[in-house]
Order: sequence, then structure tokens, then C-alpha cells
Amino acid sequence: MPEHTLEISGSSVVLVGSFNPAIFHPEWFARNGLLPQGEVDSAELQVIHPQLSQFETERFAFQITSDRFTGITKPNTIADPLKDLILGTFYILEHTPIQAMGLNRILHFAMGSVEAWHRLGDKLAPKEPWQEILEGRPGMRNLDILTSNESPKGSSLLVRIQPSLLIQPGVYFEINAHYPAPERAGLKSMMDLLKNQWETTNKKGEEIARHILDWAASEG
Amino acid sequence: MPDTSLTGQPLKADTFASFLPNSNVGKLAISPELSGGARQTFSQTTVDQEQPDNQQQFLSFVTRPIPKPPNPKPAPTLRPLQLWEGTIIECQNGSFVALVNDRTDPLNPDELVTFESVEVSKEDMKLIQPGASFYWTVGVERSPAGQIRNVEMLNFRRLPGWNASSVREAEQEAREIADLFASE
Amino acid sequence: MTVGNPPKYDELEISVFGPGRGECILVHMGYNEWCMIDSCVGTGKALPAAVEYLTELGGASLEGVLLVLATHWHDDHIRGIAESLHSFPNARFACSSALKNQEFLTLVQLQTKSLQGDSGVDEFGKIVKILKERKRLNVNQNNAAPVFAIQDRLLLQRNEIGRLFPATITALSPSDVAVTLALSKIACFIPKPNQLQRRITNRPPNEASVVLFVEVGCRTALFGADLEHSGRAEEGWLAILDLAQTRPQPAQVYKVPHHGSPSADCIGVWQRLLEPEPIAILTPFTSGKGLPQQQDIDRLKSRTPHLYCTSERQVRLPKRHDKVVEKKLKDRTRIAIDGNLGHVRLRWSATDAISTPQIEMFNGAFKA
Repeated sequence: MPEHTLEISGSSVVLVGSFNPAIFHPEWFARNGLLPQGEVDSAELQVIHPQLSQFETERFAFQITSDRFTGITKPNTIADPLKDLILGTFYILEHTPIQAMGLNRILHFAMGSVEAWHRLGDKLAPKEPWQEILEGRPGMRNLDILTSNESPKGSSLLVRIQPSLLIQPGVYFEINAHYPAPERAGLKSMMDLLKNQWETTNKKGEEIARHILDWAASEG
Repeated sequence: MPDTSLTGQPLKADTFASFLPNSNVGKLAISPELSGGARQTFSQTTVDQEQPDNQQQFLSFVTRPIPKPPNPKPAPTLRPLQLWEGTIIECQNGSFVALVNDRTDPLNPDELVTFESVEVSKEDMKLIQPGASFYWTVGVERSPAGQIRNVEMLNFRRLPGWNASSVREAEQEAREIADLFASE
Repeated sequence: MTVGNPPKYDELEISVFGPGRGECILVHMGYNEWCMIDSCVGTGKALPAAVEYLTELGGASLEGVLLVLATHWHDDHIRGIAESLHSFPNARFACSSALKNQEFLTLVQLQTKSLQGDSGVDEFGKIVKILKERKRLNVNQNNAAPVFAIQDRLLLQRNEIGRLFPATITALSPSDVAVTLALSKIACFIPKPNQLQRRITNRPPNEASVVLFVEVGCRTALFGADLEHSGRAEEGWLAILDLAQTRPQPAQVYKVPHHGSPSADCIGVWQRLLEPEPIAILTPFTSGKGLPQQQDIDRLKSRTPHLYCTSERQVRLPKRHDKVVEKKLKDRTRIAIDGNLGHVRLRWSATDAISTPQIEMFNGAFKA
């Protein structure tokens, strides 16, 4: 039995800036050729409101507030069309002020056994010091590791590890590549990064998760 | 520093789960007090007493524990096994030839592959032209009822038309470069 | 690839790299001075062919590259050219005169804004950036200015004191008429507002392709790029033959144009621009039918027994590990393009007229 298997994955793009949620109706995407009409016709509108827009299509889900735009793929949908959709949207809305962008990869791994699951948690956050002072059965619930990147300036990477809610025994990884936008030409800069970094970031996210899982599975 | 992780600002106010249809829209506004203090740390997540709430997004797509509006639509999920990106180089009668590159294993050679137009959805038919690009996926689909089937999909890339400002900018830049070259 | 030692100071080297689609030629003109013609990148390779090869050769070869030339703008001839130019600090950039035109530059700049990404014309956008940056830094103004090739223009000449033998590179094309024709076609590629963003894949005839005549000491070579034979006197090969009266000597080495296709074959070239039975090198082009076809090989072999090809047109399809994927692909019409960098290398003394050339083949290159 393999020590771990990737069962569910997804990607998201989060933009921090200034948005008008009322624009983001599924029909707008169809009118601008960014989504097929068929997908728009079957979209599920949850909220369309001046302060919030939220809807789902067959492949994606979106949530837009006045200062945050989030697009996320449905589980196990291929991620590249989301990148195209974001690029296309902000090519049309070329004057949108953007302050930062996050490219996120979400991964749920099934662990081969409960023992393997515990082994990961024990290695990342040894129970020993906690058992000495806490009652019950203390266990790792969340681990965030943050590092800064050399380029572009101010960018960073956050890796979040938690027990998976969807798969038991399983592990959830969320890898956030964060990019602050420059003051001038912020949107253009972020869209260039999205175009050029999307594939690398997605692959890197999976690489990081597998590295940690392999390390946990190894002796020592 | 603004937070761009999927979990974002204080989870209970700002996750997909809290925006599911039985939520109160009035709770959606994020108060400065909630977000301001947490700006000290990168992730800005408050301490969450319950189960990790940020996973609710996917949970909602897969198991839908929270009541949905009328006609909820559970959807099949796809596990992609192989992905190519292709560009059409030639259109023939009822088929087209594309140059595809292997995105799953970039060390594999590029290929010239022939596709039949009938493999393309009705909506994407008008996109079949030289220079158009698409994603070609082979994978395993699981229906909400648990049935499995092997699938192959072509998704044409949908990108907007050129806007006038891009063309104008390019013409201006070209003039500057032509002047630069002419002065040499 | 074990490349061995760099060429001797008085050796002409011609290295032709060709995967299933694409080509790159390196010419050593003596004294560790090089010229690169076109560019390609092997599948899975981090570096363009020329950079990888010269780095392996060592001996400060990267600094010795004096000219980087793009014969035309089709993407199989310029992949990696910008990175190459960036890696060669002393190299000037040269291209067809047709490309200095504002329409082409508009197309180049527009492609830098394209959401599609990854079009051959992108390489020109990167070249423009490099040249602008070099001009801004003002370190070596010689390599900040591009050189535009037009018929009978001397692109590079090396005959300094201390050099035992001169070396020259002359453009034999495009003609004025060819430039005008090319410009009218380029204008068609510029999109109108609201036109969908697409990759440029149309491949019009290459009338503005740059053909080069290279002389290194007593050795001569003709590089045919992708120039095709239109049959009209003012362009293509006929325009070059018109000039042939003034050419001092025929070429001993011939880079066969346009992958050996019949549309680039002009008998006059063999009769008047080449020595009898020259050394001929060609690169393949994988497409539906592919080039060269067997009849092209037969035709070329009837003209010279010394015909070398950098690689096969196509290779075996890769085996997928997943059975589901294999099953789905089973009935598809697929042709795998060889991404391996086949390499034909010729080394020949530039000072000893009676010496024989040394020809080596690497990575699947073969003698036809």
C-alpha cells in the first residue's frame, strides 16, 4: 500500500484590490467570451449584490467582495482554464487597482494507514513536550510555515498543513504563493506573474507536499 | 500586508462555507477590528476553535453538509491523468491537426495529433481555427453515484479579443523602436 | 554529448543542430570567433543548443560569439535566440531588413502583450528588450545596434592585423522586391481590435529569408536558411543567381534550404554557387507529410554523395505509464517530433587548401 496518494486537488487565485462585485455576473463572462454559454446557463447564482457576488459553474466557484476577488477550481478540475479566465477578465478590466495576488494550490492526500498519518503529525510536531503538560491526547491541528522569496521583492510562500476533513486518514496541504503588487502598473505586473508563474507554482506546491510526506515516511 | 491565501481573513466571516445560501448576508462585512489585529502575522487567521474551516470550500463541493437551495446539483469529479496543451496548425474537412506539448511530462516529445471536429463541443466549434489553443485531458471521472468512467476532453482556451489600447500601445512602442534602430 | 576540444584557431567549424523541428548553426571563423545562425532548443533542455554546446566546449567560447543572426521569424528557427543573445555579451544581432519595418515591430510588441504566451514572435520582443537594455547601459555600443541584412550586404568582416586569414559573412538575400513582398504579408498578421488572440501559426513563403555566404580563409559555405524558389527573377534564388557573376568562388559546404523541400530547390544553385559534390547538410521538419521526403533525399543524393541529416523526421511515440491513457490514445493519428538535438559537425583547416574535412555526427545525426 503506498504511503500516500493524492486524491483531491485544486487551485485558486486570490486578488486583493478594488472591485465592483455587481459586474461579476456569470452572463458577463459569457458575453466577453470567457466562459461558454452552456456553462453559464447552468451556473448556480448564490449572491449577486453590490457588495458581494458569489456563484458556481460546472468547473469554478467565484466570490468577489469590494476588496477581494477569489476564483477557485472545483475539486480535481484542470486548473489552467482558471488562469485563462482570470487573465481574460483583467485584460478587459484593465484599470482595476490591485495590491496583491495569491496563487494557491490545495491538495488532499490519503495516507496509507492511520500509523502513517500519526507518523507525519509526530514528526512535524512531536507530541512529547505537549503530553508532559497537557491533558488528554494533544495532536497537531494546523502548521503554517512561511518563507520569503528572493524575487519578486516582497513575495513569500506559505505552506499550511492540517488533517484532512475529506479523507480519513488524510492530510491537507494549502500552498500560498503571495505577491505584492508594485504601486505603478500593479495589475499588469500581477497578470504577467500569473501568466508566467502559474504552472511553476502549481507544480511547486505538489513538490513541497510530496517532499514533506516522503520525509515523514522515511526512517529517522 | 494583505493576505492572499485562500483562507484569507478571519475564517468564520470569509469562507465559502459561510456564504452558502443559508448564511445571513449581513454577516459578510469584515470588520476592521477582526482583520486589523491579525495583520501582525502573515496568515491573519484568528484562532479557530472548531474544525479547520478553510477546508469547507472543498467539503461543500464534495459532501455538501450544509443545506443547499432548491435543485442542488452534485457534480462529477475528474481525476486528470494526462494533460497536453495544443495549438491548431491546420484545419481540414471535419478534422484539425494540432501541435501538442505534454504538460504532465515535459520531457516527452511534442506531437502532431489529428482530432475530429465532432469531438469538440458545439459551443467551441467556432473556435476551431489555426492558432487557437486548447487543453487536452485524459482522466477518470467519478459520478456523484460513484460510477467511474474514463474520459477524454478538449477545452478550448477562451481569451478575449485584442482591445484597442493594446494595439495603440504596441504601435507606439513600435514607432519608438523603429526610431531607435533608424538612429544606429 | 561529448563535444571534445574547441576547434583549432585556424579551423573552420560548422555545427548544425536540428531536432525534428528547428535548426541552429554555429560557425567558427577562426581565433575563437563565432557566428550563430538561427536557434533551437532540445526537448527538456534548459539551454538553447548553441549556448549548451559552447559552454561545454569551454575556452571562453561564449565571449567569442560576434554575431547572432535570425534568418527569418518562423518559430522553429528562433526558439531560444533571445537567451542566446543574452549569453553572448559581444554579439551583435542581425536579421532580415524586412523585420526593421514598423508593421513587424508592432506585431512583435503586440505579441508581448498576448495572453496566449509562447509564440515565436515573442523571441523578437525579448531581443528588442535586450538591445534596449544594452543601449541604456552604454557599455559596448557595438552590440547594442542591430544589423539588417539585405542582398549583398557585408554583415561581418574579420581581417585584423595578426589574423593569418580573413573571415567574412555576406548576406545574399533578401532582395528589395522580396522585402516589399514580405512586408505586405506581415501587415496581414496584425490583428484588428476585438479579433481573438491567437498564436501565429501561418507560415507564408520565406521570400525575406536571409541566405549567407561565409568565407573563412580558403573555405567557403552557403547557408540557404528557408529560402524558397518562386521562379521570379527579382526574388528568391533567381535574384541571388543574378549576383553570382560577381561571386569569386563557389561554396564547398551547403546548408540545404527549407529542409530539402522541392520548393526550395533551384538547379542553378548547384550549377553556379556550389562546388561539384559539396558537403550538404540538412535539418528535418516534422509536419503532416514531413520534410525531407524520400524523393527529396534521392534528389539531393543525385547531386552529392556527401549528404548529412541532423535527425530523423519523427520518432517513436512515447509510452505512457497509465493504461487508461494508453487505451484512449490507441486509435489516434499521432506523430512524435524528435526533440533530440541531432548534431552534424564539420571541421576543416582554413589555411591548408589540400586538407580533408573531418565530419562527426552526434545524437542521431546520420549520413544519408
